[in-house]
Amino acid sequence: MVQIENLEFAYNKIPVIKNLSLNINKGIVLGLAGLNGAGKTTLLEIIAGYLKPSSGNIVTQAMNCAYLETQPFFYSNITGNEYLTFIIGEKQSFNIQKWNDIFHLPLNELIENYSSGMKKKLAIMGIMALDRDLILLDEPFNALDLESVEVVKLLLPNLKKQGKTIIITSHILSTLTDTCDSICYLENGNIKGNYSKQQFPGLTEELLSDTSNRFQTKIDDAFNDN
Amino acid sequence: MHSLVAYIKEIRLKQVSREIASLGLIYTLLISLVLFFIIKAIAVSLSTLNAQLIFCLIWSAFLPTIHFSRNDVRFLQITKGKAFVYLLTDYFLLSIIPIGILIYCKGLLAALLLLLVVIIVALIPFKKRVAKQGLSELKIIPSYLIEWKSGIRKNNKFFLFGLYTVGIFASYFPFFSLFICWLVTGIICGFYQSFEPRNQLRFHHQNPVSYLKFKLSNAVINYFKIVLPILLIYSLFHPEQWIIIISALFLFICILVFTIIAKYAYYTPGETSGPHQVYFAIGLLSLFIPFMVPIPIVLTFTHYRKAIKRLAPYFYGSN
Repeated sequence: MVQIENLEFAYNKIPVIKNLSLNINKGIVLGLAGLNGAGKTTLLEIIAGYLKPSSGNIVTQAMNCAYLETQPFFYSNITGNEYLTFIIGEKQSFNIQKWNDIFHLPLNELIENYSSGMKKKLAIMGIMALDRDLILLDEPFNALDLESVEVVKLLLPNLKKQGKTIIITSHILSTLTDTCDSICYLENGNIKGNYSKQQFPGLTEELLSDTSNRFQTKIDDAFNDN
Repeated sequence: MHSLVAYIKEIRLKQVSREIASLGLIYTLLISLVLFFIIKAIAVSLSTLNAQLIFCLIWSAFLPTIHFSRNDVRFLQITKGKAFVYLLTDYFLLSIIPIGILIYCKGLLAALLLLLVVIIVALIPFKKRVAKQGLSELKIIPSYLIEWKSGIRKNNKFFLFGLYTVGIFASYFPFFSLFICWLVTGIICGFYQSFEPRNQLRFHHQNPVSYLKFKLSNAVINYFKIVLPILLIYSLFHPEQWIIIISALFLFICILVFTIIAKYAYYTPGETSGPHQVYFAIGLLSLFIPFMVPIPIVLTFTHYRKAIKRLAPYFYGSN
């Protein structure tokens, strides 16, 4: 579905993705984990075809992908219903009402009056309406309430059953271990580790084992200065 | 209070300089030249008191539209008692050129009236627009014309309907309906002032050419549906003006096409304004200044390629 070979990308000559190679098979849910600035969103944007890599090869279905951005942005002065109707276009197979029974959005209100969580839910409904084979979700659980987090977790296996390929980024590892078939851990623009489902138990401890040791002294120092 | 006025002046000057910087030197010079001629042409036409009052009336109608579509309401609510000073400074800065023109043309009465309007508009209470439950769905507008739905809401559909009705019923009077059509054209062009999110570009289209063609063809077809009834009724009362009617329709469509192309030539997802708004103003004003009429037509051709180039990165994956 997506083949990436020796991918390089730089913003203003600052390398963000460095010699990254990755194969993503059809019909799997892949998680991209990593610290802030590790290159997760940049990698998604390259796969989505919004960014052109500096070098390397990428085979992707950019025009057949649906991309959920971290902070979804909508056209002003339109209602949620108008947004979804615009996406559906001629296609009548998407039943807005049935989907809204899941998300409970005030679809007749202007989107600018939605909370950030509601905007995220609307964007997720939009992704469902688009019905693309490759689904890229950048921090889909951010801003969602507890119930909606569970709803999104339940949606993913259904999308997978339909043969869709899903790539999710998150810096909260537990959300990925709950939903993904495998997880790539990114560090400084490259893959530090590739973990299958069997390796998920204890992954958080493995990846973050030295964090408390590294930071405890610095935190103590900072508090002492105060 | 003095520092607030100075602060607003500084912000507005910075905004203007940023817009100028984004236009580039050549376009800035070109636009300055065009604006100079526009101001000159307006000044020449303001020799009578009637003309000065009409000019004052047009500008007075423009100020409330700004006032009611402000998106800094939350900031204004924080400033509390100082909101009036803020708004007054803003509208005074905005009206300084028209007031200057009126004073230059010895239209002191109209200039004073305009100053009064500035004060009155600044005094009008503002509040954050909150959508009501069951907001009208505007089902008459096709779902793909998302800009029109957004624009009609922004402009108040009752005002637009009223304007349209006046345009039809005033067909008997020479040129009045044409003026209404010009206003309608300006309002519809105004629908294309905000940039859509980049995701939206690829919902139904695979490349920039197809996207732009879709936008242009649908805008023109639906524009026809709106304006044609007014012009047809007008032509029944004034059949001798057929050449003027056809020319006006052609120019209106050129301006609409030019506005849409200029928008995508400066497309920046997530932004609400850009240099294309200057082009929009030039396009709209060009109808009143004969030597400027070809400008939007020429710029349409030069900006078409620029628009395709600007949109291409958002369709990079299609290559």
